[in-house]
Amino acid sequence: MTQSENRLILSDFEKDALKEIINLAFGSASAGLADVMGMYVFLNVPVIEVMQPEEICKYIENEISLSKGLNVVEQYYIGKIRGMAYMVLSFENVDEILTILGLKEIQKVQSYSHDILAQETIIEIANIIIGACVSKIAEMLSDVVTYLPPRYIGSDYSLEAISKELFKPDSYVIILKTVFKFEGKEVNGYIFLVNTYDSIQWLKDSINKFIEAYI
Amino acid sequence: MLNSFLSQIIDNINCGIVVLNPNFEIVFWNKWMEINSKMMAEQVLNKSIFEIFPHLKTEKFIKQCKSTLLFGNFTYLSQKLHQYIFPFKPIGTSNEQIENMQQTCAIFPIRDQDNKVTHICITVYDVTDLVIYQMRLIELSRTDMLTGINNRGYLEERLMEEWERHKRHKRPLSIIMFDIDDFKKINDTYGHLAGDLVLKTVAKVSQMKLREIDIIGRYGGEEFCCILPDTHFRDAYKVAERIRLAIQNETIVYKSHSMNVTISGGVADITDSMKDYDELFRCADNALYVAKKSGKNRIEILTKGGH
Repeated sequence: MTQSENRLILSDFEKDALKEIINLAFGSASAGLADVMGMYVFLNVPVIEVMQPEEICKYIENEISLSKGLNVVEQYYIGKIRGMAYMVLSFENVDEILTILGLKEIQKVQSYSHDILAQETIIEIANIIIGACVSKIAEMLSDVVTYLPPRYIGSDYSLEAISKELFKPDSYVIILKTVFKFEGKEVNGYIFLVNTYDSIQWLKDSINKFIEAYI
Repeated sequence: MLNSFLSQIIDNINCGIVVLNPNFEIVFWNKWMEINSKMMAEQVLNKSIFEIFPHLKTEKFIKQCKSTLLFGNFTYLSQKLHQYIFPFKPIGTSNEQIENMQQTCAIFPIRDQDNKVTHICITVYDVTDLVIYQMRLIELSRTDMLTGINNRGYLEERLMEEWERHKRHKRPLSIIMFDIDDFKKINDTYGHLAGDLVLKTVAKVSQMKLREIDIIGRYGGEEFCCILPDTHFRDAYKVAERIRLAIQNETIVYKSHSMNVTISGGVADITDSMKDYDELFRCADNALYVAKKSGKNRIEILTKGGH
C-alpha cells in the first residue's frame, strides 16, 4: 500500500490526533491497571498503521522481536469501533506472569496440565490488559464496546488463520500497536488492535469531533 | 409486556445471574441462583456477597470485579483456573472426583443512561458434565490400555514438567527404566495372552511399590519407566530393588501354567550438566543395558559421571 493510499484512509493530521487520543486513553488505562493489578503497567506511545488485511500477519511478524515461542491471545471487541485485539507474549515470560498474578507455581488442578493452566492465566491477563486499552480508547471517543471471551490462539505463532470473515480482502484496517511492560518485571509484550474497515468512517468522524472540541 | 418477557426469561434461563453494586452488595439474584444456592433472593438481597460467600473475599476476585467497574470490560473466569466461584453441589451428577459444581463465569458491566458503570453482573454456567467428559478423555489419552498405567506420551509430558521444576527449585529427580527379562520367550512359549497377563502383573506389582507422587508408565513393549520426584539416585536404587524383588517373588498363573519373571533395571538421576530430559532417559537406558549385559535380574545405576 502506497503512502498516498494510506493518507486517503487516515490523513497525517488524523493519525496524530488519534495518537494523542490513545496516549490519553493509555494514561488512564495504566493508572487503572495499577489499581487492578497492583503494579504499574507501562503502555508505550502507540504506532498507527493503515494496511490491507493480507498485510496484517506479515506486519505483526515484523514488529515483534520476541525470540522464543509465542503466546497469542485474541479477543473480539464490538461497539461503533470494531475489531480484533491480539496480545503477544513470549514463552520466556510465563513464569514471571504467574508471579505477577501471585501464583508462584500453578497448583495442579484436576487433570489439567501445567501448560493448559498457564494458558488460562495468560488469557486472564490478556483480558484485563486488552479490556483496559480498548475500553479507555472507546471512552475517549464516546463509544461503549462489548467483548467476546478471549481465545488462546496458539503457542505456534499462527495468525495465518486471522479472521477472513472480520477482515474482508481488498478492504483496509487500522492497526494500533503498543508495547507494554510491567513495572520492575522482565515482562513485556505487544498489543495489536486491528480495527475493521466498517469502523474507519466512524473513527474518522470521532477523531474530527475530538479535534473540533480543542480548536 | 417486555418486562414480563424479560423476567420470565431471566428466571428460566439455565444460568445463574447475580448483580452487585460497587460496594459488592447483591441487588439481583435470579431463580437459578436460588435453586442451586438453596437461598432465596430475600435472604441475600442487600447483603454483601462476602457475607454470604466469605471465600470470595480474595484479592484476585476483588481485582476482577474492580477491573469491570473501572474499565467496563468483560472478565471471564475459566473453570480450568477457578473450578467454581459459587460452591454449589452438583444436582443430579455423581462423580467422586467432583465435589462442587464446576462453573464458567463472566463478569460484565451494567451502565446507566450516561454510560457510567454503576453495577456489575456475574453470570454462572454449570459446566460439570463437560468437565467430567473432559476428565475421562484426558484420562483415556494418558492411559496404556493394556496395563492401565500411564502411557509413554504422558510419561514424557510429566518428565518435562519435573525437569522444569528441577530447574526452578533444584530438587533431586531420578528415573528408573526397567524391562522384563526374556519376555519374548514367554510369548513364544505360552502365547500373547500370557504375555499380556505378565505385562499387567508387572505393572500392578511395580505400582504398589511406589509412592503416590511417583509416576509409572509403560514406555513401550515390555519396557517400563518410573519418575521419582524429590529422590536421589541412591534412594531410587532402593525403590528399583524393591520392585525387582517383588516381581521376582510374584507367581503368575496363566491357565494351568505358573510363571515367575524377572526384570532388569537402570537408575539415573538428574545433574546440572544435562541439557534436556532426553539425556536423563538415555542415562537410565544405558544403565538398563549394562544390567542386561551383566546377567539380567539386577539393577544398575548410571549417573552422568559414570557408575
